[in-house]
Amino acid sequence: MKVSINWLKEYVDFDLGEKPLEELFSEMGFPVEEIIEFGDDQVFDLEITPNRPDCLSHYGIAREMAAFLDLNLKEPEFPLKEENKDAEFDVKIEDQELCPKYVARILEDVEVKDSPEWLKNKLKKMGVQSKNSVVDFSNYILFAFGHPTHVFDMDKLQGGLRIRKGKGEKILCLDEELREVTQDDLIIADLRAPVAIAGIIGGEESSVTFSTRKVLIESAYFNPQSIRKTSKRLGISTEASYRFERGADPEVPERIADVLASLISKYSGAKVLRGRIMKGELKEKREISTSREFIEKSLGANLEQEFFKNKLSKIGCKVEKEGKILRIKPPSWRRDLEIPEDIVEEIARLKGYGVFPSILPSIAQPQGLTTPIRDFRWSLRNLLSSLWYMEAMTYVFVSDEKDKFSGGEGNPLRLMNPLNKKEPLLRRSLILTLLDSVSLNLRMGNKGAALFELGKVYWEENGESREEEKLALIETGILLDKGWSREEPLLASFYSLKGTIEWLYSYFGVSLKFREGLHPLFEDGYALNFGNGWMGLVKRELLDIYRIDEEVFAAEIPIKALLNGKVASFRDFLKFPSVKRDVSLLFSLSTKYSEIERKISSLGIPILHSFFLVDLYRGKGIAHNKKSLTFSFVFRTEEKTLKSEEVEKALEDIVRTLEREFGAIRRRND
Amino acid sequence: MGNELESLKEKIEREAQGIKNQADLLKFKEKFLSRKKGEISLLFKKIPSLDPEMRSSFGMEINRLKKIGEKLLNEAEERIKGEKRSSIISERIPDPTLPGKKKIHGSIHPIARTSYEIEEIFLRMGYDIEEGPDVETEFFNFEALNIPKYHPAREQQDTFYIREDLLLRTHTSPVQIRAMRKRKPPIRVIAPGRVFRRDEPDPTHTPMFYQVEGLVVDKGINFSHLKGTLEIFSKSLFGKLTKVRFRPSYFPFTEPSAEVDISCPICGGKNPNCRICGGTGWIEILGAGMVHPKVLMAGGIDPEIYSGFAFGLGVDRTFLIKSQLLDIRYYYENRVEFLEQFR
Ligand SMILES: [Zn+2]
Repeated sequence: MKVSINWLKEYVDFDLGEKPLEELFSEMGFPVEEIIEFGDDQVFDLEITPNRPDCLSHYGIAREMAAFLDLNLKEPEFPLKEENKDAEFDVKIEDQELCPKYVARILEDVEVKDSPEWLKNKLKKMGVQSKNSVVDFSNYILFAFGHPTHVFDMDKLQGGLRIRKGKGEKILCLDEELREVTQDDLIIADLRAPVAIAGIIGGEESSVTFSTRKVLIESAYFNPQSIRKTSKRLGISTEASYRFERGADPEVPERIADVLASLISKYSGAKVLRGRIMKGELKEKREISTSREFIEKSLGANLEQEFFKNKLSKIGCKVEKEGKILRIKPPSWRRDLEIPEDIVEEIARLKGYGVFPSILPSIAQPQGLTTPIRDFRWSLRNLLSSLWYMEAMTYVFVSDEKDKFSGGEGNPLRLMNPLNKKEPLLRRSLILTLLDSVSLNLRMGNKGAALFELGKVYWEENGESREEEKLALIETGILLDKGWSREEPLLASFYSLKGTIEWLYSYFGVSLKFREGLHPLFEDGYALNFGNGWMGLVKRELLDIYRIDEEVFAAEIPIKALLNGKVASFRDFLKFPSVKRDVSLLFSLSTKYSEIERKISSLGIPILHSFFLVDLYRGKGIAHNKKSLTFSFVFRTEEKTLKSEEVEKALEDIVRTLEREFGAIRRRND
Repeated sequence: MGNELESLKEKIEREAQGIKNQADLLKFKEKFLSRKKGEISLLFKKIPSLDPEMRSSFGMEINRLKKIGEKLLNEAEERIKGEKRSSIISERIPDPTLPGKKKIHGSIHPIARTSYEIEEIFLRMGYDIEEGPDVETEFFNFEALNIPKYHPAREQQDTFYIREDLLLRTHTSPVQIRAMRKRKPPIRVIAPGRVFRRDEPDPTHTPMFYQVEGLVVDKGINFSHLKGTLEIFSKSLFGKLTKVRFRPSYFPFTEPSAEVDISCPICGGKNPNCRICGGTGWIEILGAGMVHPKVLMAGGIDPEIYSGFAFGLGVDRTFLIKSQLLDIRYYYENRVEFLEQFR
């Protein structure tokens, strides 16, 4: 709400500089968003919360200031001289609920002119273009007193006015847009067609122009929800709708009609016909019962006896005391005062929030419990950030095109009103949004990136929305150059990512078993499944959508898969020495390590404690369709020191089996 | 004879000085100290040919010479060992002022860290942590919080809708209702999490951000408790000297409602062009208030017996203030150059 300081001073006398004024507005609950200089005047743009439509005018703000500063509110005079001729027109409210009150006044012999400079000036400060000496005063009333009015060229109204719901008609509005009004909208119509969308915008056809001779003033009260519904449906918000949807003062339309008639008659030489055309009435009895005791208990402080009555009557409340009970009748413009807690706020606000004590509540049973998953997230963060992964946080929106790759459960959840029409879905895989960050990093000239995210995926199943927290890891390119710090560069790789997963699972004591599988995110033949987790080489087709040229490795694991790992049980130290033997074997290129591994394990050799891959070699000295694998075998037993013959025999068994099963050939390079 | 001994001693001393390595050491030992052919041993063989009265003194002289030889040999051996080690060390540590070798490591997102800091302050005050879903029903996000349909407050929070009755939560406040329905007073919870608003990204807006919600419900909770709690919190987070200001405001789910400002931790109000406070000296960090009786009822709590306060703050904004971040969109772009600044 824009407030001109000079205009404000027409209703209340004050002498405050910019800073103290800013502080005052802030203390009243209306923080200043901007101060605009206008020659000898300043316009403060105040943020008015939706519960205070009564402060959407200069008079309203002045009334509030008067209460805060204990000043007198000046009531401007608007003398009205009526003609010796009755105002008559056929006005009917067809929907009393949506239009509880409608007041009209009729003016004749109107000479529509250019507005006086002072008025043009005032409207300019409010950001409104001057039209003519009639329309401008209707706007003036809105900014001065907060109540929206409308003026019709009465000669264009056919037969009478009906306040009714729309019937699918079209109306050309003042902003030159053609709009259709339905039975969800309240309209003002003459006996032939709609002439205004009630409380929102007038019709072009019946608008007041320089050739208008006869004016009908509308000053009404409309149902806030109805105005809001129509304004939302039509996507149009005006100064009038903004005020009506927050709640106008239902008792003021009569007076406002008089004020506007007075102004038009004064500045456009019009004759005001006798009497108001009054339809509908709004009776309301709001009364709040509370007590000083309740208010003081709610605020945690005692206040002076007089303070309640004085301040409450300053803001227009009628207060009666009955024993300990305070019966409070709020003024018609304070739509927000309904329950005792509202009175508590008024008292606190008028007193100033700063004066109340600051006390810590005593805690009966202090607990300070966190959730297992929150603590677990931190273990993950610490672990992964001590490797080379950086934690990322990404938006959750993806396109249909990307979602096809997600491999997620159920159906995607679709937004009705996405920010970007191309990205209407909620992600079913974190990898899809992490790829945005990978793409950005590469475009910004980074040679690589390794990121992780802890976040949710979303989907729909049997009409229910579901969400699950996941951990995703993604790496690509060169993560660290070679140089003084490293002899070899650190490169993102399939096996580095796989090793990270192995480390995670072993750290949290969760058993891990990889299986080859098919997943839409990953290239066929380069995807591994482990429980509910997946990892692999991201599909080229998907990377192309993100314009990523590098190869990208990614993994996604439901967090709950990592929870509840087992505490490792103690294994006694070795009593007898173990024996280690390295063996190199030639295999066909297509032989899978996992098959070799399974075969060796299936032999069930009791003294074979463990074995692992030491080296993979291809190239010089080896046929192009072969690879050389070097294994380390560790033999040990709990009972005795192993004899060399026992070890050799076991080793022989293994080699023979591999030769037989895979056509392997043992290499002897010693 | 005396001359012969004297010249041998000089020779031994001279050659001991010339020992440079293991080979020289062996050569020296062989030449002078070997039992069979060593020059000192050879002198012993001359004893029988001497006058009997000369023999014992000559023998003592030779022994003395032998001790000198052995001592020089030991010294040379130590010297060579030392030289060898220092040459190895100087190869391994050519210059102690060279830079250390960088450790490979990643980073934790500043939003996660800031949320953690906030959570820890309340955990120590005895609050429990609650979490709620991101995809929320219209009831929990609005209705139960006293924001009925066509309420202007709904417009202030532009909402992502999935269906008419299903949406991305616009604040962490629905967790208030969930916590009240799950627990019995006294209730003290905080609820951190992601929230969504349909805002076009710009330097001060993102369509997703993080909040921490707080709720206290008990008998006799009043406005002064709200003030006390948030004052302690603000000072814990921004420093003991921080000043805290409460201003009237409006939220449909609290009555009275307040906005909480802190004194600018960057300029203290002294810089009229301060990027963080805009020269006002105050920064808004929290929205708060006494829980509205309708909200207590929606949570299944009798407002005649219990009262409470609630508050919510933006994690993104909190870190923005602390770090003087220029553009809030950086949080969700995840550029390495950004993330590595906040290890
Ligand atoms: Zn500042």
